[in-house]
Amino acid sequence: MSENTVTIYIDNVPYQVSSEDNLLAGVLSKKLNLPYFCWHPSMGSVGACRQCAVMQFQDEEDTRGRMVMACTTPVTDGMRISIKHADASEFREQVIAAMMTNHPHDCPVCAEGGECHLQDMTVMTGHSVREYQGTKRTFTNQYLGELVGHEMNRCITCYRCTRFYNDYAGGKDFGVYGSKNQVYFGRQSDGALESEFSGNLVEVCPTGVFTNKVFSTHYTRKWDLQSAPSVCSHCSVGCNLSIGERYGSVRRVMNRYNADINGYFLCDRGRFGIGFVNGEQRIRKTHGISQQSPVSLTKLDVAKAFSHFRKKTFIGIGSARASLEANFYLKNMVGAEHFSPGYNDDEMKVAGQHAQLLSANNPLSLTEIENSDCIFIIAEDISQTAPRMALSVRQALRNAAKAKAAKIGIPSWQDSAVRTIGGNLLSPLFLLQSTSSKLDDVAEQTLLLPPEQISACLVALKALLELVEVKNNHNVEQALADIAEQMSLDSKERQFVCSLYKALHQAKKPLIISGTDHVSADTLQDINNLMQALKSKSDIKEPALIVVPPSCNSVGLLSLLDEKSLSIEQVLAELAQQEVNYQGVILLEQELGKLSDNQIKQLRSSCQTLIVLDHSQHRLTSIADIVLPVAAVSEGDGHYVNYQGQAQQFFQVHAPVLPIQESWRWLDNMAEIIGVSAAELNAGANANAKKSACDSLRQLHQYFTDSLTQWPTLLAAKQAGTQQAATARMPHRASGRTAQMANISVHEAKTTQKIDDSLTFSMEGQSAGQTSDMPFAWAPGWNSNQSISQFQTQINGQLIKQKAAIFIPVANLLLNNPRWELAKQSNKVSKVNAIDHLTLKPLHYVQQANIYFDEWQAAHTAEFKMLQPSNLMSISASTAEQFGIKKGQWCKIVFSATNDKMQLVSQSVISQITINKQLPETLAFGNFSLSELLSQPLDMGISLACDQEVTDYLSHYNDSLITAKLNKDAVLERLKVNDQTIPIRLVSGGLDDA
Amino acid sequence: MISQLRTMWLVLKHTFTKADTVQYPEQKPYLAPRYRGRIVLTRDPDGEERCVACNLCAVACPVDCIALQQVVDDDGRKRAEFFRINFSRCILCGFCEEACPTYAIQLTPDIELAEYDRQNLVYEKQHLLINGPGKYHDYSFYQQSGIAIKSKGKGEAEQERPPIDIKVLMP
Repeated sequence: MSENTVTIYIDNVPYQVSSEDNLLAGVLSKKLNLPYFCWHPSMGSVGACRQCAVMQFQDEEDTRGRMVMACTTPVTDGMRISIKHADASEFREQVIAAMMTNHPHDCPVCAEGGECHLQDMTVMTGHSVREYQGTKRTFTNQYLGELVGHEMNRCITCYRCTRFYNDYAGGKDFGVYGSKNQVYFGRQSDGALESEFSGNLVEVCPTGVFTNKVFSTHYTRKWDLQSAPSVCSHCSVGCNLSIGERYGSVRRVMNRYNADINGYFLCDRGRFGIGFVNGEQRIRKTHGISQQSPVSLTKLDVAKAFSHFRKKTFIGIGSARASLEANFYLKNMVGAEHFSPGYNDDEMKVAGQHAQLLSANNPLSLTEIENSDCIFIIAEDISQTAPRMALSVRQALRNAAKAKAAKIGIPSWQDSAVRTIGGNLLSPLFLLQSTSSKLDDVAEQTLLLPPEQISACLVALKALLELVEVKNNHNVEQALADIAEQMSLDSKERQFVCSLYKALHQAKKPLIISGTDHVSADTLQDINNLMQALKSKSDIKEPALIVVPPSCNSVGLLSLLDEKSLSIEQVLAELAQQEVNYQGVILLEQELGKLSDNQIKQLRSSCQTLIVLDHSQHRLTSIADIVLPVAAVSEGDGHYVNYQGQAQQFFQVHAPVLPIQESWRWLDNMAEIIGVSAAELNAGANANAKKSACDSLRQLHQYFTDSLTQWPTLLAAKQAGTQQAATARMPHRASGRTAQMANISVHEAKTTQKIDDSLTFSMEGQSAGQTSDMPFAWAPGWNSNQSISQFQTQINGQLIKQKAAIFIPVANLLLNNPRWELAKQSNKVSKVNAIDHLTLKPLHYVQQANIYFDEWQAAHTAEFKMLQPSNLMSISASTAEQFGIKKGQWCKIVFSATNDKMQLVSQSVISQITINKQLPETLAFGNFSLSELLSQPLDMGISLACDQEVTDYLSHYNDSLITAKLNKDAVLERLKVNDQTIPIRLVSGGLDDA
Repeated sequence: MISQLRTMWLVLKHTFTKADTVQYPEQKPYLAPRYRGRIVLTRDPDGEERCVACNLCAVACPVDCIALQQVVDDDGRKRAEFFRINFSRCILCGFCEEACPTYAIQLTPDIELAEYDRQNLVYEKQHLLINGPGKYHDYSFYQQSGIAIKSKGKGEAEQERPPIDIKVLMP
């Protein structure tokens, strides 16, 4: 910032502002109040609303001045402006007055009220009396799905919604209709918004046209929400959230600004997926522990229930959705050699490769992604598995247009000018994957291939890199032709590899993105080889690499794995062999979704005691001996580690009803009894010291640091942090304190206390902006989330109080175990296989990733279940021709394969068919899952489904939608009842804390 | 000396004046219709609840003695699922009446808020609702607001034009 700052005079006071941004951004970065609507910090200026008018003066003598729009005026050295000038103020007030002529009298019933940018700006301009006596224009609303509500009357035509939805997020099903003062923002016809970023319309819209529909059905004002800084638990990006609670139930999720990660936007899974916390499937009581007192479960009850497990050996299965603390605690409780991450053999190999890639490459943050100029995505549909990252990728592709604009002197914040100049110019994006994705429309080239062929392409590219010592393109094609001969690549693949090579060659900041969800370890190894080849090339800039794991704490779990860690197959084998006398298995927030029903039966029958810690019901909770209810992300404290290895703390939003408590508290309750105690494991000086209970996260960290050697490397830096004054979880206007529980007792309960907490469960404490982890954003005069500009060092910059990010080292210990190493020859072998299969023309079926259903927790949200699409499968044109199928027909598809025991397994599915011309014959993808028993590749037969079959399927499908609707209503009914009986917690600790 | 005489004169004079003591509760003092006493929730001219559960009274309340929860009913109206006032905390300041955008909350001249058991001073919605519009006979919020309810569609409120057909080509 320093070299680009200039001095400007605002109302004769000198200020230092950045000359790279516009005047409005400069004024706001100095924490001055200037109203605006159409400008958005990350979407730039278009000058549509005429709200940010200021007077600009030529020099000191100039008293007349001229009116300019601050958002479209560049900052120049020594410029003199006036915000307070009477003409400018009056102009701004008149603009609001004009908008208000049509704005309905809706504030009391509008979900935006109390955090409405339009309300704030109206107050800011001083417009207080409506003089217009005429009639107002009205619109009819549209149904936009279960997530976003529409109330078009309130629109002030700032165009922010379409600029976000269409221009920024690449949506296709939204637009502007009509003319003059009849402009309408919506879809062509009613229907759910298709973009996975539709929820951001709620925050982008300055007023209440787009509202959070889920929040509106069980509504409360922003000023009444008790919020805490949290981290999204639905994917590995680790977006920062502010989760709001009222009367004991979680109400909504809002974006929490983090300059390096999510910025101003979230995906819909993050925003609406919190529904699982209130879901019907939550576990709220313990099972298998007898309770002495009728009032509550005590620690003594737990100790008694576990007493006969004293010094017995357990196998602990951790999970990638449990906090870092809980996984670490479990691993040390049961011992490293009895710890499993719940991965199967293949996933362990993937984890090994992932750890290797992570330790060798520093993944970029989302903000850094936006600076890349060439992106290559391999076998991961990030638009569904890490949607926020896909949004950043979209922005990165605009760099070509920005560079073009910069050449003719147009700054990047001049949004519409840059878009006009850029036209369709995009930085290159290459997609090499098995399913089509939402990024296809902005990709320079997309190649759809079965998983094995993807590896072949990577190997070819690597071979090309090693061969070519060239400057001119002719040689590249020559060299590639030879390689293609060996690898039997077809012309499409050859062309793809060739243009990818050229793009990488030209790129200044190339980036490669892959994932671990649908990728085999072999492919990851190929990527590793490719990275090494790229690094050794002097004429190609070393690309950055991002590997996207599936879950919020995948990398945290990865950092805990070592050569002793067990795969789930090993766990089953160990239990069956009984070499070690295992007492049982502890499952930590692990649903073991990939296990077949048979394996689950095997697990149950071979282990004596099955202890499940989880927040929601699944197959294992119904067959477990002991079930312990665990806090969901909003109900507890802990850390998640995102795809970069950045550890971020999520804070408790509200105290749950006991016996729900964080899994590390449960583990702490049993730690003294079960298995190898941590102190003994270290056999250090503390061996005889009796462990005292850990009542807070800080005490737990202290205990880890003192007694366990591995911990200090993980979060040591965190310990050094000095304690600050506590911050309030509620805004200072929070209401109803003396009445909300008065129906239970008129004597008000004390506010909930918490040991070592940096946040209070009340409105007492320092204001939200005084800390790096802001529970919510609010500044005087700025009630909406736009108030964030008051807390940034400069617009789009870091927060003023931002603390340094903590990165966790991921050591590559997993590969020390030869079991997880890949056979060196595996590449060649698989290639030969692939070629063999090609001649036989069998088929690979790949399930498309889905933003709503891929993540186990979010999939419990009733509103998501209502969005379940009916079966749809894409096949290649030649397959369609072979079976005589046309687009859109309902078909019966029979998949069959021979398994290891040489038995024929088959499965039939009723699905609608679409034809994708890009698909090779050997690949098909769809949105339904196939049984695990079917091993790829498969044989497929397609025939037209008879009417009866289609009717049966559709009625079944409709039933599932109706069930979801009923489920949603049931949740709402229960929440309404719960509102009347707010749980009183005096201390938010574990059991015994009332 | 003079002051003593004056005192005696005043005592003598008061012996013949009318006593100020009122025989409450047999004899009630006059309270103006707009006196700020106990709160009621009124209904609009259609007989429906006026309260839209907007939370403005709760946030205006200096002693935080109002708590409520909004629900959207099937007819599109927003109502309070529960509306609770803790009168043992209420200071009868009238801020809630002032904040109420729908004239739902109105203060009445009833000031007799005394109970042996403090719990009985917690009033729920059914205790607060009255059957009439109170001081404002004609006001109906939904006739002013732009949102649609069952009995009133888009563009049918006061001072509204009919909804715009966005597919029409005329400018």
